Amino acid sequence: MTRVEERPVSSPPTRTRRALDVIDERLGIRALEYPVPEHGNKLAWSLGGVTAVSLLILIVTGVILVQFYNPVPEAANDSVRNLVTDVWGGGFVRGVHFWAAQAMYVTAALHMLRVFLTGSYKRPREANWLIGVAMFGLVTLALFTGTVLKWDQEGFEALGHNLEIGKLLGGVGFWFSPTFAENVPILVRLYSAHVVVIPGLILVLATLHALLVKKHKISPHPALPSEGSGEQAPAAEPTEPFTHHLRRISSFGLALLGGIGLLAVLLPPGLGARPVAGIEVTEPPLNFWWLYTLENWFGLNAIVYGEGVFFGLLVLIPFIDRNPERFWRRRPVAMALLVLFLAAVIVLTILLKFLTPEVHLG
Amino acid sequence: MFLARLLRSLRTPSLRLGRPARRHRYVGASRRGLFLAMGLLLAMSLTSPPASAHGGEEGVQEGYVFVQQALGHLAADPGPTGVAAAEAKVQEMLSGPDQDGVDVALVDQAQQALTAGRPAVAQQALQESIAEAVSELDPAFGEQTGTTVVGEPLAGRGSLGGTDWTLGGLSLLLLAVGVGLAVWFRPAENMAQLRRRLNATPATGTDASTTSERLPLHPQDGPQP
Repeated sequence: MTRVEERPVSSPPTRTRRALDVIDERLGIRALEYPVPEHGNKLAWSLGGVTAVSLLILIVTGVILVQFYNPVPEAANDSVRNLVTDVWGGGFVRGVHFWAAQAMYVTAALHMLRVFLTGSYKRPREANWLIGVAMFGLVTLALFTGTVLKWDQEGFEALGHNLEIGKLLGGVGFWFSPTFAENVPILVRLYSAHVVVIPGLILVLATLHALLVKKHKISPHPALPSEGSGEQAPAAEPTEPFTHHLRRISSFGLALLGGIGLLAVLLPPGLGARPVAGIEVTEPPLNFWWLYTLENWFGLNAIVYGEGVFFGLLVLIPFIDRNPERFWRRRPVAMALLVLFLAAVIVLTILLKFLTPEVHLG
Repeated sequence: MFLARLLRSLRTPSLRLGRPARRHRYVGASRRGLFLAMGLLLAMSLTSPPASAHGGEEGVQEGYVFVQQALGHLAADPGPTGVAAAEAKVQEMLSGPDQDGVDVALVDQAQQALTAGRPAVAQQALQESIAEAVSELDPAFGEQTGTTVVGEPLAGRGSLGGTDWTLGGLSLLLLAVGVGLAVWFRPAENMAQLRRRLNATPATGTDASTTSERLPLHPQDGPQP
């Protein structure tokens, strides 16, 4: 097969190129131009990058929001109200933050689904799958803490559930005990978790995740022929520099930001009345409905079991599934289990609308 | 201090860690250890006592809290269901032993307003009835709400103003530009074309991302000098 050199040598360097060369000499940015198989630029294979864009949007809007948010229980709800009603663009920034969080959850879930469908968690990428599962857990935690921070009835009930779960977990749930730091409102501790601990851990894990993607390379597309061991894309597959991959992710990210902005304008997130202890009158955010249905049937313990089974299965997948096949049609057991798993979550989510809510906190 | 608290938490009856885990030589044994740890966690949660009332507060509920709960029900649902729940809480307050800091006459008025189907009047009376009680509250700590005035949910979006239209328009523009760029920068071949090309190429035994050379994206481009 005839090959061509990646960059033509005949054209003289432009002013931009010379400027980039100067920067590259100091920062080594050309290291980003390593080759990536062409299928890596498909949308399905760019979802991890789109998730990273969501994180970036969350960090930028989060930095703005913390300038106006007061995490003291007496003032938290009012500070959010003031942000929305008195600060120019405050409601929009809050809306973008809210919808970016939803987008991050959805794109991370879709990314994991793609990785599962294409068998990309298989040897030698098992550890990176586990890092991804840990990040998904942290995203869930960030959603939960973000829900509590607005300090309305919905947020307070979410906290109430979590405190009870902390008790159920015994010593493991020590951090969620209000007596762990007796003189500090738990809202302040959740705030520190939401703005420092959780994003910090996500950033560390995301860096590790990206480095391992670089080390193991983009996994082969199961619908295409792969190289001998089946662990890498074939040499014959065309490649693009990674910077082109970044360029495509940025395009998706721009579209995502636009979509999020529209949602923030048209469907801004609500804010309930200030919270009252001892009643249970709200529903959790959509992401947690399936757990709420389980709780309705089996009590608060079911939330622990539900989350335990959910994340336990995700963790165990690469250890249980040792089949080297990556193409979904040749993995009937894995596909059947996936369908069952998704059906269970979707049915439980929908069922919430048809059940009479049981009170477990009041 | 932190370690002391952590250790105290770990000594709770529902979790006893016991002696440190032995190091295992074989992978199978490590896997058994993993399953053992998971089993321990499961058993721990199975044997935990069932969760009880919110916040773990036991004993007599303070009267003003019942009034706040009535206000919470009305704020969440001013319809018949919320009114019924609020009436029940008001009744609990009136028949309860603790009425410190609560203006019972105002609570009576609120009850009548609820019966008459005037929840807004009832809300105002209920809020005023606990003014004394909430004014004596200490700063919130732990899981306390810190709520003095329950209030109303923030009103939803009204009709779009000039700022909304501007931000919405900019967002739409970003969306269009993003989609346009994503299409512009799309891979040159779809999966079917890529598959056909690779099936026609003999395997080399190495992988794509280790070579610094690349194939022409379109066969018609042909080899370049």
